[in-house]
Amino acid sequence: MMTMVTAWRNLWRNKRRTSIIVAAIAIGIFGVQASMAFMNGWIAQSVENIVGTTLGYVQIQAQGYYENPSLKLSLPLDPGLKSKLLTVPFVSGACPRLNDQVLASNAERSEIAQASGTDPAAEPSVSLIPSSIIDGRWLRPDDGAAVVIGAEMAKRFKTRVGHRLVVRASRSDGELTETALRIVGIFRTGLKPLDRSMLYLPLPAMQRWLGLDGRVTEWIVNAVAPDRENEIKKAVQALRPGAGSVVTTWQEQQPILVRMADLVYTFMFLFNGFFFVAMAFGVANTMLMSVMERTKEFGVMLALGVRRRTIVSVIVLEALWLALFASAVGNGVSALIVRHFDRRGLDLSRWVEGMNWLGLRGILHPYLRPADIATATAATVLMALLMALYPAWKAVRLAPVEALRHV
Amino acid sequence: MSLLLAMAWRNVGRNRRRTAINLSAIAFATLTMITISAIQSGSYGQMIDGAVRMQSGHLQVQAEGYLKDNDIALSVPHLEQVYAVVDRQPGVVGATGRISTGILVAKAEESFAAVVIGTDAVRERNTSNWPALVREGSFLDPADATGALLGGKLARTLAAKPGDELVILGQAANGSMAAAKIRVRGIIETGSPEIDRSAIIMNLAPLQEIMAMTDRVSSVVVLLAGYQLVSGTQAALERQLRSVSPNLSVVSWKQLNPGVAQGIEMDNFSGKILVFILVLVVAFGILNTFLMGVIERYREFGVMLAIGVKPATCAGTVLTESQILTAGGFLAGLAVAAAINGYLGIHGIPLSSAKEIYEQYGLTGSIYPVLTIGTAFRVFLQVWFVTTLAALYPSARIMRFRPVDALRSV
Repeated sequence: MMTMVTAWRNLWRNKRRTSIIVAAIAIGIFGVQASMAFMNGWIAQSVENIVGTTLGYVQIQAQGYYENPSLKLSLPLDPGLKSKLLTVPFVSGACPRLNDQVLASNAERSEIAQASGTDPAAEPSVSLIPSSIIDGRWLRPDDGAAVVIGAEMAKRFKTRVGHRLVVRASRSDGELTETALRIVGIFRTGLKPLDRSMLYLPLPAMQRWLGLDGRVTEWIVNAVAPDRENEIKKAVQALRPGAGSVVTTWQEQQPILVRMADLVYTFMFLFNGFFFVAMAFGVANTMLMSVMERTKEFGVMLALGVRRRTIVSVIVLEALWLALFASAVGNGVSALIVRHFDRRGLDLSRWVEGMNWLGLRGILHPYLRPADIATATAATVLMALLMALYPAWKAVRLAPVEALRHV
Repeated sequence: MSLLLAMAWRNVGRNRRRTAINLSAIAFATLTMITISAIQSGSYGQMIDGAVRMQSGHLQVQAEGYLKDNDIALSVPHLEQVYAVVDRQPGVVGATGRISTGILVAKAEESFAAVVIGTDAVRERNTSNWPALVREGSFLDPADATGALLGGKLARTLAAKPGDELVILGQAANGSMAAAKIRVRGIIETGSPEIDRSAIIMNLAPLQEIMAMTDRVSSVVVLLAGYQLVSGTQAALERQLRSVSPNLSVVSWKQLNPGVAQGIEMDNFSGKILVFILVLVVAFGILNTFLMGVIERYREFGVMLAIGVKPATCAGTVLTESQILTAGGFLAGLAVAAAINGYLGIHGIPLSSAKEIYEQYGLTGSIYPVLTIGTAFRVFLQVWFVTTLAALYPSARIMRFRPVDALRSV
């Protein structure tokens, strides 16, 4: 206890020196945490932008549909399934969809689009599209030939709410079919590929049009609990959602997202290593200086009968205090700044095309996980202790008489 | 002057251990900064190269407004005259006219949405790397009017293989319904999701006929000898093409791939911020030792001042010390960086473990860092700036010394 107090006091004997080294460490930790928070926000949004729009958290599809999304691989729509799915723990929403690729046209142009026939009442519980309407309204259950399209598509087609859009596709029996729809709403997610190519119509209208009454291509299940997808998948499987169907999680359908997160964190681990090495040089020099200039003092202590072990522990504890104090400053400042940008959103819309290319919207919400703070603190402590070893070893080897003579 | 240098040099040698730590700190900062920059410029070059060879070319000649609307009705007329101008332009490696439009492709009972691209089979060989990416069957042949290449993923979705017949359906430039039979000639695997998932590539002439676009194309794709030539060639072509048709515009790869261009810009910017923070960390560490070096010599400086040495000279020795350290540390860091990046520049950093992730961003195989003199110089300036800044504070303190106080201090 006494040594801890001594060490803390020693640390502040030279206020300027300690402040400078604390600043060096704190800035380093800020560098580490800022990039970490950015990456956390990036990964979280990449997942959200896919899972929370078209993919869903857990999916029920016909065997083989994922590899080859064809209308031939549809499932019977079991009307009772929704309420059963909603009884599964953590599940917050369930929605049936009938998806197909179509050719959308108007007088202006014609383009490939992804049509999704969805349950207008259930879609808001699984995706952010209904809440991204910027003009008109979202679909209603009693809508007939209505469609909601993305803002980019509306721009390219030079169309707006109230106008007509013709869609063409082939029915499951191979026959080409077309239907005219009225645009009732326009959405904007900020993700160009989605805003450009997705269109939503009521499930019954889509079924009638494609001659697939009572059938869907997938059920999307949403949940409030990240990291529980496997549990939910098992519970959904236990409901026996229908012959020939398979239950998958978003990780199974988008393994590349999972691997990208792994890659990003591996890279961050290496990159943060650079920061700690850069900090280590400063700490090494400062520790060395503070021990060397006290050679005489240590000599006196040794001469007075203080054990060498005590001297070593004072030096090591100084390093520990320095690391803990600097981590507290660095992490505290980082956490405050990160929280500010998490709330306000980090506006990168200057590079919106680049963000979109990376699967992101223009605004990012960086955040820190408790583990990030714990890791940075542990790394700082470890680095400081390693840097204290050499000065401590020098102090142990002091011969009292020589040390006393030292000026 | 030489006295200043000699004193500074001796001071550097006075505390060898401290000097060694400072030198390695500066060398480490130099090494890290140079290596990060070299990897960045290497991968950016490869990403740009991938994007232009895969699809867009460095430049495209288009009708005014086509870039924004992709409207098939906005087309480039007088193709032969455009070729004549483009082919004459120095720096142009290859150029080909292409038509690209969304259609439905049907096989037996099923139909899927796809993008049909019509191109000049002979000219394409100098313009993109498509001919080298045919995995099954063979590349287009001008004599085979109905032959077409399918993106790998589209072929799997359609369960189509070379020899199969498909029907394409779309809207011609004049608004009428366009339909034609094509025969799968080969399968192409590019690693670019856009092409692999949805492209049907066929000869230009038959597609011109199908789309009612005789002697017209959507764009003329131009490949240059290097991306440094882009802006010069863009301006030159735009000027010369005015004689062919008044409303032609020449757009660059940046406009054609805004995602790649901005992604690079953003990565570059964030990289700069992080490197700056790293340098700051090193600078603060150095500041402490510089300060120590001055404080422990208070008495010495007091004596110097008392015997008539100018304060500026005293401060000068401290600054000179920092310059020696910076130069030494930078050179050591540069030497190690040159060795590492020289090796990696030849052998590459393999991306095997995360291949498909990088492929999404147009990086294939390995990353080859590119270390230029410009990069080394920029890093030197940054390192020099912060270390000099770190030495200024201690030097400024000497300027304020009063000899008597300094002599009294222990």
